[in-house]
Amino acid sequence: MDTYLTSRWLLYLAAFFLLNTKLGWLKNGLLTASIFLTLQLSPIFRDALEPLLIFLCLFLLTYLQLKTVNRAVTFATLPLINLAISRFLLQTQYFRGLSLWVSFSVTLVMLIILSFSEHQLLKRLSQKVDNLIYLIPLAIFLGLYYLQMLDLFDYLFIGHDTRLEIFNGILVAVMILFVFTLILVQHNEAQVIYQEQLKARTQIDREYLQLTTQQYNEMRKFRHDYQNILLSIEGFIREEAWQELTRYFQKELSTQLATDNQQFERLILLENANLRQILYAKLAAAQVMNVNVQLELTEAIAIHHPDQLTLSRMLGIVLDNAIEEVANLDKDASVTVAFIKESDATILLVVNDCRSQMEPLLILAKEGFSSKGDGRGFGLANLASLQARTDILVNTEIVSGIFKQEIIVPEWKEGVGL
Amino acid sequence: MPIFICEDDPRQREQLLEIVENYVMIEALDMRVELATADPFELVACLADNPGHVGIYLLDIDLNSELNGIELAAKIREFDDLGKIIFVTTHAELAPVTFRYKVEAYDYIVKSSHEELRQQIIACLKSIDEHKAVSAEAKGQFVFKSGSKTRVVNHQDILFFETMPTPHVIGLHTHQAFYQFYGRLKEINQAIPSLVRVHKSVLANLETVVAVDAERYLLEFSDGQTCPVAISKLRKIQKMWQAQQG
Repeated sequence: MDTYLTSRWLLYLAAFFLLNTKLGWLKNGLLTASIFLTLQLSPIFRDALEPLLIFLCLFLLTYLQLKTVNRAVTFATLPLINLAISRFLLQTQYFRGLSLWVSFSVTLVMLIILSFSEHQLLKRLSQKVDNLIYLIPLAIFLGLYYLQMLDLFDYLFIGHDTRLEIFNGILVAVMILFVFTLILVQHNEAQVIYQEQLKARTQIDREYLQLTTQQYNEMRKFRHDYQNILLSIEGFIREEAWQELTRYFQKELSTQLATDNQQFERLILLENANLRQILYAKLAAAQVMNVNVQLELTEAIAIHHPDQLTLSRMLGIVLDNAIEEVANLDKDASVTVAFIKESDATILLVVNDCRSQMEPLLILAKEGFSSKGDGRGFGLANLASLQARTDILVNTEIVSGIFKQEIIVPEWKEGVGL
Repeated sequence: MPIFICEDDPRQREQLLEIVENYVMIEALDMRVELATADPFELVACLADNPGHVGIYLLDIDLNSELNGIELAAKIREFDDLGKIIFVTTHAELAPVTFRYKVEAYDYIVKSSHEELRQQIIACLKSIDEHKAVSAEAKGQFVFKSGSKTRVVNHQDILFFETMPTPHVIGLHTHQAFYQFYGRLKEINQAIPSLVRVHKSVLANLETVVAVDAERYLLEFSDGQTCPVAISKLRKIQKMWQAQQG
């Protein structure tokens, strides 16, 4: 009994330790092996409570860590399913009569093979039916568990049919309740994620709308100016004042032609619609705030990366910070956005002037810190959390009054999602 | 040191050649012009034939060839990683920020009047002659690759390295910058043995630490940045730091 208890505690400790890191098939296999060992040592091996305890323990731990029902359930059930499968295989005639250590090694190998193949399978499947995939291992686990419990009830309540039925009913009811709760929680989770995406999208749409309104106004203004210009030219022509006309053209018009904003036209070179949209919106917002933004797009750019929404949100945050900073400075300050194509990555470079007494980076990135007072400036912390689980790298530099942020997007070879 | 010049405009090439040769002759520097060409491939072939040199390269960016100056520089680096690469160019060839990003790892001279060009080239050659080529490690610099770009950070600017939530990504904090790149703390520690593993996920430069906060288990740096210290290592780190201060 002592060994049993100790090993059980060891198992839970191991679970804690393993859950602290990323879960892979190897860890999954090792965990299962330790459970197997625990159960082997236990005098109440067939005690049906043990799998349930382990399941709940694993589930809660994983859920607290990952905050997703989907992965928590998968992680908590797979070891137990593997265990049941390998135990079943051990009882077949091929493996019967082996010594304890041989059968243990065989089990270990089987467990690792099972974990590995499940891991591969999940990787394939999760791209297609992401949200409900966890129901499969859950159903298998509950099914196996139910069978095991039936065995136990048969043994316990021999000759007490009513009791058997009552316990059976309770068990089924609890299982159904449990599954429903899980589905509800999972659904809720999906909703929250969806809402967040929706919010980001609406934000972009709103800025886009602002932009089109503003462009319309500009267009009207331009038409107005244009008519005036034509009228003046007409005046010169009527009076046949050619010299004045030449002077008027050179002085008034050629400068006006040159200063027309050509930034927006260059956006055509950017093939990613979402990035183009956010750039459009931010460039327009900058214009409203009277901030000078230069866009450097010297060649056609297409970024092949699966995480487009994250990317556009990151660019949005970086641009917001840059534009806000420059808006608070004097007139000469400006923001430059450059898209640079390298052999294995695309670099989004945002460079802007900043205060000479800029706070150190780590402090800037602290959650809730803002140079503009309370309740704002989640920018850099947000950026870090957005970037946390992607392969996009961000470099930040402050050198003599220039703030530079560099988003490095590695090239994805398969050309996924524009 | 051999000097290589690659410039497609013959008049400008002559001009560069003349400036360099005159200066090297007058100052009797240990340098010679090995090659002056319009064809970048000729330069690459020349390097491939005589490997192992540390040279000085004066390159134009727009070379009217399949290879532009920046691509040529990358090729040169494959043969000669300590060589001095200097771009002689007009800014107009690329958008300014993009241009600076691409040539940041190198020196560059902006084409202007003949006299200004002469003075800039002389200043460059002079500084090369004074410093000679020393490898980055010997100069106390940390070299890493972030994206496809190689970066260099002086050891004394390093505050600490930490592991990031994304697997294999390391964050490097300096006074003025925060870089991310793929790597492992263990390998970095081998490259710079003076750094100390103060926490499972932190490798700190104790020379830049200004205070040890034993209550919150933090190391403090001069600009107010902090990094965590493992509870079990706190005493040892504190002693090491004090020994270094004293």
